[in-house]
Amino acid sequence: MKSVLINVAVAIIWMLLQGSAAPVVLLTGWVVGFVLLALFQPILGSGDYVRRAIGFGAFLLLFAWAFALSCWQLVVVSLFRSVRSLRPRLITYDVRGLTQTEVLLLSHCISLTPGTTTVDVAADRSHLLLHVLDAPDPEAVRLEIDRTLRRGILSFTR
Amino acid sequence: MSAWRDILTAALGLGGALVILISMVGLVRLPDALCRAHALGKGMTLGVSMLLVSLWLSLGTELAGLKVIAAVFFQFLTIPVASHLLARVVVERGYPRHGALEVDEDRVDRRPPGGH
Repeated sequence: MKSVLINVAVAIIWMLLQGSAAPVVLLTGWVVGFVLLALFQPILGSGDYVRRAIGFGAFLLLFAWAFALSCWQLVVVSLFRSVRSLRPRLITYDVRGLTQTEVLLLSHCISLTPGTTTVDVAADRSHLLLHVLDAPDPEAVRLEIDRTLRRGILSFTR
Repeated sequence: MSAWRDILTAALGLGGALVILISMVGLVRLPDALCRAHALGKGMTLGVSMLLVSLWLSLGTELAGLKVIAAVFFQFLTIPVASHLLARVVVERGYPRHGALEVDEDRVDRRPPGGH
């Protein structure tokens, strides 16, 4: 929390020194503050913030890649696949041990990544019900979610 | 400089329109409502976002400011929710579904070791 405040303060001071309130200037100030926090993490105790911010950045990149893949898959399926070769089905995905925020983020991202849409959350929040567009092997879909989205989200929420 | 901006604007605008067209083809071709929600959710998000970015480039930052970024952000926030609600209604009411009808249960315990 303290690190976030330092980062905001550095960004605002940078903006004041530059004498311009353009968003690009504020963003540059933010980056400068972040670099300072990363360099002086033993003194400022900002290691946790730096780790989470980097995790979040990495997650955004991963998400952009997954989203691009999912759109490519959509193109292939809508134009070239024969409908009879599709194997759509419902699967469940275990989300015990995740907080509500994490489940929310995960389900939202699942809706935007290749071939899966979130349908429902179990009443006791123990698992998600997903619909998969083409699932000859449901376990592979779960492993893929584990490997990419779940790991990415957990890298900045805890 | 300006010519490149025009080319990029046109490419993004046409690309966005093409993505929406393809997702509409998917909407017609795919077998059931759940599969169609896939095509809508992803295609519309990308297509509308590309059209918005194209609009941003053609208006220039002085006019459009950062509103377009906010608009794209809200596309990403809301369209998946709409497709999720659609899918939820289909499953709850038991509308006809294509493919395997039974739910494939997750048998692996994915709780983190030493978690809650």
